[in-house]
This record gives sequence, structure tokens and C-alpha cells, in this order.
Amino acid sequence: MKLSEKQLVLLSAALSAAVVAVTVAALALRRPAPLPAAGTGYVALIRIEGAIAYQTSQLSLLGSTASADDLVQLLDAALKDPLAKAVVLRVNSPGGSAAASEALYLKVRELAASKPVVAYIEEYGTSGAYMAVLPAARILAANSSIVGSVGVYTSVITYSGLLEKLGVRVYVFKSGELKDVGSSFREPSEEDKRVLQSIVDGIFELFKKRVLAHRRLANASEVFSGRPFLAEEAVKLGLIDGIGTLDGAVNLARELAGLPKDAPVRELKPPSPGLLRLLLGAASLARRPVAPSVEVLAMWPPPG
Amino acid sequence: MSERKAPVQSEAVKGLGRLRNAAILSFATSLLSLPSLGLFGGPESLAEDPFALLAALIWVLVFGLAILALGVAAWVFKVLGWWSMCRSGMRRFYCATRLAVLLGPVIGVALLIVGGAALFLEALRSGARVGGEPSPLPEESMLAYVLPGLLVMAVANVVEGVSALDVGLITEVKALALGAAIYLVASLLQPVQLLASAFSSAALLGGARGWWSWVSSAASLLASLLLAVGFHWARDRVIQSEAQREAAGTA
Repeated sequence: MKLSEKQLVLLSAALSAAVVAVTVAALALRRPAPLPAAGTGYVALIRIEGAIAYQTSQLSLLGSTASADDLVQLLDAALKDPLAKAVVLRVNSPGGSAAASEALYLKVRELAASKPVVAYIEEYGTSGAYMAVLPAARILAANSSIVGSVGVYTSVITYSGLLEKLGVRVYVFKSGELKDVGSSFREPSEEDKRVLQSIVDGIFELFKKRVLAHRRLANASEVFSGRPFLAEEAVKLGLIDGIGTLDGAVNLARELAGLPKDAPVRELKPPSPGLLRLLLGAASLARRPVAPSVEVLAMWPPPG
Repeated sequence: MSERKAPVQSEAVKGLGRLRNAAILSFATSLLSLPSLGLFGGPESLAEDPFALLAALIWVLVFGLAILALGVAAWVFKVLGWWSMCRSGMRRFYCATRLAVLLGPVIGVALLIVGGAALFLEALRSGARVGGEPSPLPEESMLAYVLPGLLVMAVANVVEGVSALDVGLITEVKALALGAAIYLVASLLQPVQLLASAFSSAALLGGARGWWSWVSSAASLLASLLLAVGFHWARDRVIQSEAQREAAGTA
């Protein structure tokens, strides 16, 4: 039996596809690494990393994003698991969208009502991320971490000048004067500015109320100026309870839950993305728009 | 009067000879690699037993360098062998094989180096410790970094295996066709085996990991042996047929 040139190419292509298929199948069948024995209980560890958003894009104007849906699911899992006696929230986030941060705040509040929650701010725990962990029984932070930035902002980027130079004209037909408030295709009017400012003020009032409900502040006006603080200043102002390490936060959680000192720590992770999504992740990012005109509870400028 | 072989035929003989040498060197490489499967019980036993650690260090220094040198020499012979096979004009597909054999490992290793560097940077970035235990990197990101390089090399091996199978069928050397078929099976298993040995914590293939490694290594060893013998016999066949053709031409 002799193969033709065409058959050789087809055989190579088929076998190459088989190599990929066998590898992917083997990866799909792999078993997860065993978790430490829970015994009578464990400390659940949940990471809140990157900008908090509903979109699943890994990148945004504020850097990498933490999916609020995934985080809410993880918090829910910790809430429902009777063996998760305490929860440590490991935070490294500059904040995020107002709605996503609020969803996290509400879930953390529900969780904190049923079991001890300790928040540990590793690098950034500002704005929306700070709001999200406000209900925690204790908030600790690393010495060089940045905390606070309690405030809200929204930004409107306009392209009208650029479009005019390119000879592009945009016609908008709207039902009401303010239907396209914040539009990128025109300069904001005074009325637009008033509306956007009132939205920002409204969300800020809500944020302020939550901070005042959970923390005893030493200098509220300074805290609500929107500036970020180093951990040491944040302790003095009452934004956080102390400076420490992640191990310290875990030990505190054990103590608050009445767990033994050697109680295991289990990290709760969101479901693994598919291999295809991982490999094609960068390409798929281009399809996800990042809306600039959403109310943002985040540190500005975002950490680089 | 000096005998002159036709250039097309002599290139084929030259190519098959080089491919035989490459297969012999690959066999030696596989043979030297075998002890690594059973000698050490994995990272855990190395951490516990200082003698196992010392043995591992000596093994890496002595055998590791030898395996690397043999592997590179085998690759050079393979590239030169398929180069000659391409020039012989027997098949256009052998020219594609030449490129796959040349570029596959180069691109694959480059991707692995880039992936390894990215993995190292990520490990540095997320090197914090949780409750006294190192916080591991997510397996998915590790796989995403190393997988493309492994797959590129496996695909190059597949193209090479198909060409070897074709040579076996053309020259009617069963050992070569069988060796090529086993080589293709080993190439199919190679990425999985490498991933399994790279990620001790990944529980890839579950409890069958050790068994899988042995099967894959045994397949590589057997394939190299059969390919070496097969290419040698194929070369003899080509020499014979060239001599017959030349005799017929002279007559």
C-alpha cells in the first residue's frame, strides 16, 4: 500500500488534530487536587482581585477585572457550607462599578450576619472594594497597602472633535432632551452635567451612609474627601481595625470562629475557564466594550 | 572506470543513513531517560531524603547533559536526513517534513521558554503564602503557558512519523512502518505525558500517571529501535534497487 501526497497531508492533519483532541480530553478528565481535610471546620479564603465589574472581560480601563457574579457565587458557597466556619476576604482591588460593588457589599453583609468575616487588604482596598468589605467583623491591611478613596466618579469621554476632523457626522434621534445624557458624540450641556453630578452625589450619599453605619470615623470630612490613605493613617481614621499579615487575618478568623489554631484554610475559586477561553481569551477581549460612562467607585487614577 | 550513482538516488541513500543515525541517537536518549521514571519518587521524596536529592543532582548533571547532547545530535541528523530526502525528489511531502522537523522544535522550545518566563513572573507576582502554605499558581494558567509549545512539537513529530510511515510503505520495510506507527502513537501521548510529569499536583490522569509515563517511554524506546533498524533496511533496499537499475541501464 502506498500513500499519495494528498493522503499524506490528510493523514498528518488528522493525526495532528488527534494530538490536540487527546491532550484536551486528558486535561478535561483530570481530577482536581485534593483539598485539605476539613474536619470540624475550615476557614474559607476568597480573593477579591482587580476592578470589580459584572462584565467577564479580564481587562478594563481599571486593569484586570474580578467578576462580581463569580464573587457573589463564591460568597454564597461559603455562606451555605456549614463547614466554612469563618471567611477571609483577601482584597487587592481599586474598586469597580457602583452596581457590582454594591452586589458584593450586600452579599458580604449577609455572610457576615451568619459567620465571622475578616477582610485583609493586601495592596489596594479602595472605593468600591472598601465598600464591599465594610460589613466584615474586622478589616486588616498590609502596612504598605492603600485604603479609602471613599467616593464616586463618572467620566464622559467625547469624540465630537475627532469625528468632525474625520468628516464623520452623528445624528441622534431621541425621545427626550436628556435621553442621551453622557453621549460621547457631543459636548455635555449644563443640564447633562447637572444630571450626572446628581447621580454621582446620590451614589456617594449611599456610600457615606454605609461607611458611617459600619465604621466609627475619627475625621469624617477627611475620609469623605475621596483621598486614599496608607494603612497606618487608615487605622487612625477608623477606616480599618489594624495592620497585619494574611496569616494574621487567617488566625483572627479562626479565633473569631472558635476554630483550633491548625484549622485548615480552603481557597474558594471561581469555576475554571475552559481551555479554549484561556487560549483565545485575548482575542475575545476585543469584542467586549468597556463603557466609560458608568458610575465608578474606584480609585482614580487606577493603580498601574 | 569509476562508478557514478545518479544524484537523486544517492541523496535518498544519504538521507536514509542520516535518519537511521538519528533514530539510533533517539534510542540512546530514550534509554538514558528511563531511569528518571523510577529512580526518584517525585518532589516529595526528594525533599524528605537527602540521598535521593544528591542522586537526583548527580543524575541531572551527568545524564541530563548527555541526554541534551544526544537529543540535539539526533535532531541535527533528522533535519539533515529529511533535507536529503526532500532533495532526492521522492516526495514533495518530505520537504514539508524537513521544515516541520527543523522549525517544530525551535518554535516549540521558544514558546516553552517564553511560557516558562511568563510563568516565573506570575509566580513572583502571586508568591504570597496562605496559612503557612505556599499559594499555588492556578493550574489553568500554567497549562495555558506550556501547552502551545508542547502541541507545536507534537504536531511536528506527527508530520515526521507520517513521512517515516510513508518511507516504510514505499520501501516495503515492515519494521519501519511499524516503528513509524508506534512513533505516531507515542507522539499522540507525548503532550499528556509531559503535562503529567510537569504538574505533580495536577493529578492529571489520576492514579494512572506513573503507568502512562512508562507506556509512553516504552513506546518511544521501541519506536526508535524499530526506526533505526527500519531505516537501515530501507537504505539497503534503495541501494539494491539503485544497483539493479544501474545494471539494467548499463546492459
